Amino acid sequence: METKTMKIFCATTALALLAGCSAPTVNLSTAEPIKVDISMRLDVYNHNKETGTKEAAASPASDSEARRRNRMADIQNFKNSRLVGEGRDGLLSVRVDTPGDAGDYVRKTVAAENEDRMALMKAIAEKGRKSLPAVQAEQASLWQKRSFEGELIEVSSPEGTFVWVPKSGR
Amino acid sequence: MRLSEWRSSRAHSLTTLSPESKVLPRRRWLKRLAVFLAVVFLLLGVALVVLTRNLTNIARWAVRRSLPAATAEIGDVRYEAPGRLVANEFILRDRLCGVEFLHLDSGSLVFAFDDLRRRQLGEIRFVNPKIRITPDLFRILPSGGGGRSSSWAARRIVCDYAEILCEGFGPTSPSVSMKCAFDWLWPSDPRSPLVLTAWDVRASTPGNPDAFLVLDRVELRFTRQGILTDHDIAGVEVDGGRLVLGDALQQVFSGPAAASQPANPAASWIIRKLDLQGLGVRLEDKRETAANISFQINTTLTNLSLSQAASAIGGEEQSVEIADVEILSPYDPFTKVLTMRRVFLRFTLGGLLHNELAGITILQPSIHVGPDLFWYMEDAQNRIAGKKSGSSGPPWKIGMLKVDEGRLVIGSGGRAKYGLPLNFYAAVQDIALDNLATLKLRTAFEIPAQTTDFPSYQLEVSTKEGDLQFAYPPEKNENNLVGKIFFDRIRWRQYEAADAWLSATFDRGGINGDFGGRAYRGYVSGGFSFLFEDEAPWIGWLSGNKVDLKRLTDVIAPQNFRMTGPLDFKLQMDAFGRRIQRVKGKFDTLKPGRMKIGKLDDFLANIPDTWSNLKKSGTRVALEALRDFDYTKAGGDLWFVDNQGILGLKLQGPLGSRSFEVVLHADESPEGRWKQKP
Repeated sequence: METKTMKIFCATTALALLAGCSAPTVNLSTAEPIKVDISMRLDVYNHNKETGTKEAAASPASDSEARRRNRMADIQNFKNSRLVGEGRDGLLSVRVDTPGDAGDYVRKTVAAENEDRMALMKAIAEKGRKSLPAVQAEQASLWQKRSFEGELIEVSSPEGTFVWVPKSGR
Repeated sequence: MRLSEWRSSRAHSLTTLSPESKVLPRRRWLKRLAVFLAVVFLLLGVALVVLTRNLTNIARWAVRRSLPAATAEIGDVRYEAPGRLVANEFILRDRLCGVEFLHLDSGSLVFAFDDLRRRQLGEIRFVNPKIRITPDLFRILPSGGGGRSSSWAARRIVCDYAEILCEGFGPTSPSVSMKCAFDWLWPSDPRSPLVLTAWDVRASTPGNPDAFLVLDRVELRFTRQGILTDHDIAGVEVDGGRLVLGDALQQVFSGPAAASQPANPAASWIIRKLDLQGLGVRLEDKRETAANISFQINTTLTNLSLSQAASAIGGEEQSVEIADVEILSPYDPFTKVLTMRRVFLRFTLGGLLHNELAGITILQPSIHVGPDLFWYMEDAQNRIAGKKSGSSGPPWKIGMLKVDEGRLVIGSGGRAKYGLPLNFYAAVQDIALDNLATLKLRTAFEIPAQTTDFPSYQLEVSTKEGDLQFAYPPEKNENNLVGKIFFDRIRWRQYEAADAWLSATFDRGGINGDFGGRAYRGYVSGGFSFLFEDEAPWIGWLSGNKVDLKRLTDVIAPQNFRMTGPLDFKLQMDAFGRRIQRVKGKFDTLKPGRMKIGKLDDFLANIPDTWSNLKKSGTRVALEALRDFDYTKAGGDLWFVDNQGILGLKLQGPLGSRSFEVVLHADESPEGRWKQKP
């Protein structure tokens, strides 16, 4: 009997004690603000093909010109990475021999570009009754003048040789 | 039988004849008269036959009698009733040298006998006469001009086609050939107007078959009195033709004055009114690489004395308006170097003889800046050097040169032309030219303060008053034109700059320019190289310093995207004409700022209510985190090639980082490694 009374007393006391206590505080804040890093890529596609079609139809651009336009971005990417440069013969030259598929792709793209450029220069030579080397020199000069700062170009050195240098600004 | 016996016997017989016997003598007389008349008529008929069959000889005799110094070859002269005399193949030659003065295929004379009595002919018609006028012609013509012959007149003189050659009046006198026609109803009043129409009039100097003057059509108006006595031509109208101002004309003017040549029949002739319309004038330059200067003259000159062109008319100032003067490239006749819409020349003929012009006013000239301009300038420079060593004649001088509404046009190696947004004016006194083909100017062209809109470029510029230094041809080794233009304001599309300037250097390779100006609280400067090649390629670069990003992004993407803080950037571009092919650039912020993608507010406002609270809250938190970002450092780069490329933007701030990569695809083709995700 006494044991039962004792149990009831203890339980009552415990309840009284628990009732007098406040709830515990849980701190959810961090010592420093939460940093969120977001990396996002947004692909924007131009569905307005009418313009391109009109241009292609209006101009006497050959297939080679169309092909060159298609690979322009790749070549610009190569130039930005200084993988290729504008040579003194009006052609692109691979300056860094990248191994693997990436290197193959660079070489293949540059070879295709050079093939189209050579066809273009032959046509200019025939139209203007000029020698091909002269046209190549003119085109090389034009390409190098149009190169952006930092892109590789092949220029003559004071020693009479040709060297590859990044194009400097004005 | 003695006469007295015969008379007495005759008287006796008459007194003793019957009345019948008296009729016989009368009949005899009639018979005799008839016989006489018959003989007379016969003789007349014979004479007429003889005359008509010998008209050719008679004509030769008449020519020989009237022109003893000439011989006439006459193929055939015949009488065609009624009152029509026709001659074929009439050739008049100098008896001494055999030079042919007149070759007439055919000619006819129509007359009535009553008219002959009044020394008048009905009609004289010339068929295809070829007339050569030389000084010798005046030797063989009877002295006293039209003394006896002038007393004869014709009611009509007709020629449908005549060829006239006038030559041999001296080494400096031009040979003139022409074709002409006339139909003169010869009036009784000598002051009635007559008209002669000539065409294909060609004048050339002796020994030079190329004509320096060709007149397409000339109409001469004169009177009989003017021609025969006063030596006065009422009017000459020239419609079309070309004149070459060169050595040939100089040779003509360098000769002794016409008045000093006593044999010159043009000594005292006066043209009351000379009306020139559409006469093209070309300045001669025999060099293969020399440019042609050509213009048109439309003018009216009055009281021109042929004998005193330099002195009588010399003091009278003339005015010529020239339209559409074009100076062409010495190497490409289809490329213009300088064009002038209208040129007003003030000069005196006396001044022209001394290479002097009183004044030139040029309206709307366009200087076509391109490689051909520099070739032309070099060519001119070389010519000046050549002239100094072997000078031929005094240099041309202009008393006053005025230029109004001038334009600069940028021409590439191809056909593309780009007008520059400025007009220039000039007023210069006493300019020396070595000749009209090689202008030598050194002056400053005034640029007026004005606002000009160029819709095709979406460009509006407000120029400040200034000047453009211009040397033509350039002196010494400075084969370029240098100018600096200041602008109050420039607006290209929605972008604006103020207090801007543009400086350009032109050379044979192209145009190199620099520019600068205040924009968006910062300063923007740049440069460009415009290459004189086909398709007008050019490269440009643009850099900005401390540009207010807030203002800039408000212009670029109002309401949709905003960044704040000062920005430095640098852009390079490669273009053909108005088509930008490649752009490459990078940018960095200089101070902390805030990015807000305002476009995301639209998404936030349109989050579907049907979503669960958790989904809505999560989306809202994510979009807001993406929308606003305070950064301490921001930067990026971009490259675009022909509507495709990549824009990268990296932001770093206390709450993390944001890295955006916008890949612009020209199409949906998967080709191209640059498109592939890393």
